Amino acid sequence: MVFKSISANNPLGIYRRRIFMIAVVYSLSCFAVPALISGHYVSGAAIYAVAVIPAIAIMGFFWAIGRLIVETKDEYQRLLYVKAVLWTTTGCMALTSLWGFLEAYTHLGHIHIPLFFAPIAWLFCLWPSIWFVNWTEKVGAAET
Amino acid sequence: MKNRLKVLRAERNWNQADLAAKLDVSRQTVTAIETGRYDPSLPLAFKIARLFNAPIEAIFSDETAGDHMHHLAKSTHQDA
Repeated sequence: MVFKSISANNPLGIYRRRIFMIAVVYSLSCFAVPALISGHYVSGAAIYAVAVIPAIAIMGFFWAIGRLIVETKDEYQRLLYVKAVLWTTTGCMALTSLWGFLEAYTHLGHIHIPLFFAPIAWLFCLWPSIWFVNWTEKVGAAET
Repeated sequence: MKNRLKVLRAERNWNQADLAAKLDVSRQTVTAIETGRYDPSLPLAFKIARLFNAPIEAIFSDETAGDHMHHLAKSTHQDA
């Protein structure tokens, strides 16, 4: 087993394993769903069921992050994860708000990007946020 | 909050990693508590107190308690 070395008491290891499995499902769904729909392999209500498969995978990413926070026993590390989640959420919400109002009230044209790019951007920004929060804590520790 | 964790640890010749292992937390957590950048939860504070065999108030002290007591004494005096 690839993940045999991951301890059951290691929440970060469990998180990485979950993320890997969800990423496999998500990646496969990104290729399979358009192929199934554009190739007319599904029809009627089944199109709706198939179309939401990538969204369910994205929900899985958020579930895994939630579990990481819940399962992390080290309370300070848990606080750092929560801080990173808040930084990421604040950044993404601020950016999408600015973007939305600029589109609505200025001459900047509408950018044709599907709405699901917002949670994907959030997920990609989370790890830089965790790195940033850890870095600021290290700098803070060095200064005190 | 101020704390005497670094002093108590040094008295026992423990490094931060030793203390972290005894408390079942990361070394980063010990550093954050010692430098006053993080106040531990009550369960962790009790765990620290048990480890050093001392009451919590002998390890942690509330920096604002002095001011609070001063205001309390002042208001009590004015009421009287």
